[in-house]
Amino acid sequence: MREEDDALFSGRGQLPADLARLERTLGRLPLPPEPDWNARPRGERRPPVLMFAAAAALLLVALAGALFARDAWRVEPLAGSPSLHGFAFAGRVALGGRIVTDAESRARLEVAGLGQVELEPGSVLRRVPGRGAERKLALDQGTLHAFISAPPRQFVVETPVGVATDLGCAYTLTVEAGGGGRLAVDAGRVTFTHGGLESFVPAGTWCPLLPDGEGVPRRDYATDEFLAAIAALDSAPDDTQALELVLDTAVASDAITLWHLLPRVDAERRARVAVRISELIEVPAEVPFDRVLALEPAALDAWWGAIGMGPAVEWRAGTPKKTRPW
Amino acid sequence: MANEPSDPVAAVDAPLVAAARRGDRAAFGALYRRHARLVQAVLLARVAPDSVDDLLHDVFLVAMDRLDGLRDDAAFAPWLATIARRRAADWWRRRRDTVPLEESLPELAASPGEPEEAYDARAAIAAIQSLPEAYRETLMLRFVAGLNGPEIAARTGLTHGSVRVNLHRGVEMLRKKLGEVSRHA
Repeated sequence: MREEDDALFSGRGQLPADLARLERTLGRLPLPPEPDWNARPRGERRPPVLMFAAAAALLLVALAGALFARDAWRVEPLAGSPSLHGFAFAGRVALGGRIVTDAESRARLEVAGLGQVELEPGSVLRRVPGRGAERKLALDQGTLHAFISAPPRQFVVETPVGVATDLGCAYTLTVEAGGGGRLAVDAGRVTFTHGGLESFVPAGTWCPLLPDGEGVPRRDYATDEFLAAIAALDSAPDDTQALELVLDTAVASDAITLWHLLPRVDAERRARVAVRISELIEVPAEVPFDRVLALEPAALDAWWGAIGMGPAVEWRAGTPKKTRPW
Repeated sequence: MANEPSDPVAAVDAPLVAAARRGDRAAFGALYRRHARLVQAVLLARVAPDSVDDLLHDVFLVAMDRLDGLRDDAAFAPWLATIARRRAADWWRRRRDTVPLEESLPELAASPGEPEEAYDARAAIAAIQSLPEAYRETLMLRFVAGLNGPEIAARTGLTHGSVRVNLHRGVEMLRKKLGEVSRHA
């Protein structure tokens, strides 16, 4: 369909009667009264950039200024007194530098040209070398909130469990001392890779980080029964009963979780998962079932496309997979 | 720092954001009136309708507090949508054990003026909220916020192709859902 003929997409031209009525009805939903913005107290200026003894700062700047001049990211304390270590001083952190927040402090890091990262109390964040244009951080422990508006795959965060790659988004990443944690995506998309497996984590989903890898993504508002079942499977990945409970409690929108299970279970259980997905959503009829069970990338990608989160090629790093003539 | 805004919405937003950052509350009010529908749509795609009004105000208060952190003034709308998604996710994380979505839907019955439209709105929102999440926000942005496909793409980061697919598949599923509702009414 040409764009100019497509009133639903272009917003021009005549919509079908039922959609025109829907547009009239929903377009007139009442909004709450506008607050009196003048009644809101003016915000206080945040404390100035990290305070250091002037003499020490001058000395360090003199020694390392050239190193930092081109590539140092600004750190702003949001609460308490975050500390900088290694190649970091005067409120900036360079490659090899580290930001540490204690139990009382929070910090904001400007990721040059890409966005911001906010660090919660009790966190340790390092700047590490990335490949090419990549800007890379390593979260050793604690919680960060990333707000990134950059081309996909330029902002990367390593964790002890795996690597989170931004595809243009806002997300929260937590690494606990014991090796666990959580990746929760609020907007856009993130991929998480570990041990050759790749998870696609869209807005509104999260996945736990487990000591031996990440759990599969699940929706924020999946049913309690499904979330309990998938948590049980996280704890006992080989437990067939746990998998059956996951399949029994899944609804159509949980297909995103089931799709991620396909490469993570053995062949026999994979067939059960695939059948359940095909019961829940309309999978592409032209994709042979056995290609999915064989984990052929093009077949898995085609099924991913049926979930409605955009084509797999938009998610994957590297060269798009060749289209498969089924 | 700021990109040259290429779309007219961004072009109007940029000076308002700059003024609001300097403390001009009237400018912030103008931003509220320009984008309240966008935030309402993003929230309606995710949370119980009776929580939308409070969250909508929260979103703008957060935006006011964080305006200093917005790098590109022309990107105010997608930035605001991100805050809204984040607040909706927080809402779910806090309340998912206690507030089934369906129980809150009847509250919307009194919203629009005419009783038949009130029913339409309630049914339509319930039906959209029952769709796979890929389609919910796209449909809400189209029908609640009145955005067209390219505008939705600009505010969500989706490609035009994905938005088009979400709209058409979403509408197809919505028609089935609304058909089921009317058959059971």
